[in-house]
Amino acid sequence: MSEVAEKEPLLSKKNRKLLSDPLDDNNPITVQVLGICSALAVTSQLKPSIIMAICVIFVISFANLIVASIRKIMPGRIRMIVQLIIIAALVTIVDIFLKAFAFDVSKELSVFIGLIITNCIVMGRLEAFAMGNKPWPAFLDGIGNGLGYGLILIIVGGLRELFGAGTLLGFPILNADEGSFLHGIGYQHNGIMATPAAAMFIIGILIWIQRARNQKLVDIS
Amino acid sequence: MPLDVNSNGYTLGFATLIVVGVAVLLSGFSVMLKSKYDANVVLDKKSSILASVDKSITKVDANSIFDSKVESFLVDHTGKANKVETQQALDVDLKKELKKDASNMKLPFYTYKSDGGKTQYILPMRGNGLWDEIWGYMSFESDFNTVSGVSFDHAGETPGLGAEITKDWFQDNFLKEQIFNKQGEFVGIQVLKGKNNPKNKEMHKVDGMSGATITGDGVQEMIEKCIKNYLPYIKQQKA
Repeated sequence: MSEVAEKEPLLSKKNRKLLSDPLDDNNPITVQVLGICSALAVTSQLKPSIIMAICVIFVISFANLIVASIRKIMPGRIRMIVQLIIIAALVTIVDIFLKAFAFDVSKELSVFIGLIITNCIVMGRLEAFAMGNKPWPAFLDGIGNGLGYGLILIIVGGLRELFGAGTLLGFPILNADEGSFLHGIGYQHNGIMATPAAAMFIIGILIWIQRARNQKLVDIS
Repeated sequence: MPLDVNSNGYTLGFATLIVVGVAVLLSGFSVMLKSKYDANVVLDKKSSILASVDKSITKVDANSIFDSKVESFLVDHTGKANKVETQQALDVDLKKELKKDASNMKLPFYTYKSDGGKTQYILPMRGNGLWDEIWGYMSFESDFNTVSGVSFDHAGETPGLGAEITKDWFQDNFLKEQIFNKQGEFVGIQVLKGKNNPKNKEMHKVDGMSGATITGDGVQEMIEKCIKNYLPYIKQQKA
């Protein structure tokens, strides 16, 4: 922890901004438009969305940390390959651990875990931030972007599961089953919400709402 | 800087170091956790076999129940069944076996003795869904015709669509279905595109999953193709 020796406190205003910016002003999905592919694929239900968010936060923050630590000794010509190896190694570690300690979760997520490697947010943050910053801010930037990504994933996953199947985390909320929380209103679940196209619509609407509220975003685009 | 990080020699050295380092790290993790993973796989297999008989059996009890109530067999194309060690039956790679000539096939199946002394037969099956393999187990009452339960699983079907084959509503569909028609011919079970008419449910047909017709077709084909190989044995049991 060499950062402790520096004058800047661990969670200075600048560092807090690294955490909070990606949640809104610089959200990786709705503003940077990265990681759309996985946001469409895994969000058909809430549970995989949450687990995916946790895994991505882990991978992106530690990949940022490692790359920022070795950024000065990394040969420029092969830097992307090295970044990719680091990402792939972390993802494989997550995969091995899930298989050994949370077999059912790993079965449920199956291919999605491996797909974190191809998540453009991870590589995007490594190139855009970790290559030019110290390890600690890079680590925070990773957590922030992971949270921003996870936030959108959870909103989309929640909406899709709620309107697509009438459940949340598998509990009946809105569908017509007896014992469902709101079955009185007679909602018929909507099959299109279960398809990836619905995620596209929801993300589009989220971007629309965000831009209507936040004038800053309109100017930079 | 004394060290030129962009020289060819350094680049090569760095790449080698990173690759070897990562390889050692990952294989270390993998070897360390392999036994845990293997145990998980076997336990998962046993618990999905048991799930086709009784869904309330949890993974915690799966090992002990399996050892006390389940017997494993291998059957050949003539319908001759040999009792074997559990592990030997579990180790059979169904995918490879199904590709062989019928005369060389050795297919596993299991029997489950319930507390009442009734015997249920459990057949494994394997097929293709939309994206990847699907597999499962189907258990039959002692008449070897009426389905007493199924458990399906998949490698890569979409959650909310094809992955619904693992859900109770889809699997409960199969209860009390029969695989032979009234004339005693093998007909299998059809997964409908859409749902049964609730007022006039037809035999041998179960509700499909909306948005996952191909996975449903895969289930139907898997049931037909896999059970066919057991027909000689089933015929002997019924006779």
